[in-house]
Amino acid sequence: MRPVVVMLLVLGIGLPAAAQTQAPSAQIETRRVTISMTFSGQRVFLHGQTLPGTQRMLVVMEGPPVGQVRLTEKGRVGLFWLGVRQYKLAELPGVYLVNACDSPCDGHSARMRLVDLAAWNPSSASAGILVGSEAVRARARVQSLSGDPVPGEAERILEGYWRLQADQGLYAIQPDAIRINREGAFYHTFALPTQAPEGKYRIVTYFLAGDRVLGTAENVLFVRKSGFMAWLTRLAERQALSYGVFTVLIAVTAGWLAGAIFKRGGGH
Amino acid sequence: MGSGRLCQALVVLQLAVSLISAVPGLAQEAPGSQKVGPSPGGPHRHLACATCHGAEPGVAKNDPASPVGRKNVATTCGGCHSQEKAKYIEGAHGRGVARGDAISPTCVSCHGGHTIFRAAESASPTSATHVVFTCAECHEDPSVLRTANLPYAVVEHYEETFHGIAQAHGITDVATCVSCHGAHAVLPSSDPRSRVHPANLERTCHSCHTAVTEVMVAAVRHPSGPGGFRAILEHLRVYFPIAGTAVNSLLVSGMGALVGFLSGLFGVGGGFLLTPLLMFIGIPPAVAAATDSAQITAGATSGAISHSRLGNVDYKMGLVIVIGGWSGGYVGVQVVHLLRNLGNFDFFLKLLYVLILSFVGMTMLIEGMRSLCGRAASGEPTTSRLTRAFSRLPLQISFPRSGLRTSALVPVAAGFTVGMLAAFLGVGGGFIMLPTMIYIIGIPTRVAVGTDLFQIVLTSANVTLQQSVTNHTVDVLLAVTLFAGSTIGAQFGVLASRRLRGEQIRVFLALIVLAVMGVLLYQLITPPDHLVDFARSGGGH
Repeated sequence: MRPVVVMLLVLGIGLPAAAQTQAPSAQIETRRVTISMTFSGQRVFLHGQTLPGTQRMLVVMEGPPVGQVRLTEKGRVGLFWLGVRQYKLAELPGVYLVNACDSPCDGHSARMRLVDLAAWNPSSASAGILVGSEAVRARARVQSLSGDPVPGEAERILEGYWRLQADQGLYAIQPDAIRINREGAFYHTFALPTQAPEGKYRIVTYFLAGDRVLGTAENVLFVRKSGFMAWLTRLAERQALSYGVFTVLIAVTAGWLAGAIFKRGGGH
Repeated sequence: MGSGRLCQALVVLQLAVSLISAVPGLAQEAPGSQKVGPSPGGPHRHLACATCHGAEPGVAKNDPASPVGRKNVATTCGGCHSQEKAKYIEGAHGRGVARGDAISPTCVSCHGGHTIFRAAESASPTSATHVVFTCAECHEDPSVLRTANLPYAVVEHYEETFHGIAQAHGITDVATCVSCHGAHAVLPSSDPRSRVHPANLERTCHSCHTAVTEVMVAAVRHPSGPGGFRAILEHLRVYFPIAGTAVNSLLVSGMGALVGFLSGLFGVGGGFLLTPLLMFIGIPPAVAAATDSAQITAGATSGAISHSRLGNVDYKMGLVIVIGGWSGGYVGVQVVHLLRNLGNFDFFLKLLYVLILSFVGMTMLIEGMRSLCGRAASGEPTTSRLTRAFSRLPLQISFPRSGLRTSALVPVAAGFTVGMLAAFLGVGGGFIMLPTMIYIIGIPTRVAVGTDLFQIVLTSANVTLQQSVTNHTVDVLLAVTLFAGSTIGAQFGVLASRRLRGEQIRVFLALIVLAVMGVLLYQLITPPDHLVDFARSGGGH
């Protein structure tokens, strides 16, 4: 009787333990990116274990939302290129980076180019996921400041905004950026650009098999200024008048000092 | 019974000892031989000592005749590993040893002497797990780098790349040093045969990656030279907190120096040049325009103090112009807010600016050239009919420094107009103010330059304050970096202005005005890079 009980206990404990090993995991190298005077971007390394049967992976890093953005659309009128319409955009993420991999996930056919994830989204959307420009478009608010809205303009403007952000490395899609090895371990990096704003970043890892989402994992990353950088930023935001007077005083003193030094040095 | 069992046990023990001694390799584990013999599990476990050390006993390693001495060890290893030897002697390491360099590595430097393993075995110093540390033994040692004139920080740079980060996390299927540089035929990147020569880099990346981009190639390229120029530039990058980006501080100071020089020479703020330059290096437009005003304050202060020392500043005139300028700026900002909803307002203002600059530039160029060619009286331009007519208006004030007695309405109106235009166009307006002072008010050129600088100090200080309070877009650290160049540049500008005649200054200024006009016109007629762009915040200055 006793050996049977022991066996059942072992099985009872062992089954959930086996299930636990199959749970997806994603670990982030660091939870905090500190912006100091020498900050010039940072690579954030993520690694973990996929679920059995994972064929594709999508990892989305989303930065804090930016405030309102004003954009102008240029058009040709006669000889000249001029701003023909203005727009106000809201509810946009400050950073939107996507790392992905399709079968085979060897990470070796890295194509570091901007692609529209239109080819991804139909299948991903059926799994309840919107990724890429469509995800940004789905929640963004676009308001025309120059008359009534024109059909299709929101898509055009958001596409233009995506390009502007992509130029700064703030929006990017890397289709084959994740490497999965034979044991099912995955690893990849996000290149956080210098222009990355302060705030809380959410990183969601999706494990997919065809149209099915096998599981998700979530990580959080905090990006914040530190030391003198943080002090200056807070001063500019919270004590703007003092900051302004301080700046003017420094400017006048610097100019006066240069004049005095040159006079003493017999410059002229 | 007991002795019988003891006998059996002894027999078994003897058999076991015989078996162990019969197994090659295990026999080498005898005390003493373990320290110097080939590693028990390694590929050399079957080799006799004489295979490498030679039959002659007692030859010291540092003896030139020793087969395992620095000069001969490659030949000794090459006895079995001929292909590796051929590559090694062609490579930088092999050639260094042949030259007699004491620091160049031999086979044993990387593979070890007796404890040799295959590269695929994790215990090997040349395995994917350890090879970076093995290379770092020399390539991180400052004395080696200095002696061999090798590039600095290559290991540090590798560790920052995707490959390096993954390798540090114990992942063994990423590129290490040997994946790119090769294992034995290691050549400097300047050698066209090297796998990391710029012409071969893409092919080298292709050995793992099916598609290779320039970005990918650039990302893995190490900084060049011993603390190379790129490395120096990289270290000069400073993060500017309000701009929210990192830029080379030397470049920023250089821009400040250029603009400061123009400021000292012509009495202009230089915002027309500095704002686009800052935007070009990645500073957001709003921060570029606002910080520009702070740097103009410093540059203009420096120039104004020097001009004041030379007696070139008419403070009374400057204050009267500032009253007009501030009023014009305030009215201009309100008008901009009202008219912006008309759609193409910004475009028409830009066009207006082009027309004004064309007119001012051409007039000044023709007048200056006539003076230079001797067709007009050298020195100051003759008093125009317009100037004489304005001087008869009421509220007459004397401006002794400028040698003028004219109506206060003239400088106030001039200041008002320029202030309003500056608010519309988001530039300081110095290019319009200086010709106005010379040609309309009738101030001598040098006094006009000094006085313009004085009024720019007051105007730009006011703008800096307003931008700080309203938009929070002034980056004081960026401004200080700009001051470092602009204050010194302004001094050289003043020095240059002393060596030039008034008409020469006017001709140079006219040429710059026309160049600015040309750039603006070019921007208006060429297709933009982005049809959708960030809207510029007008009405700044």
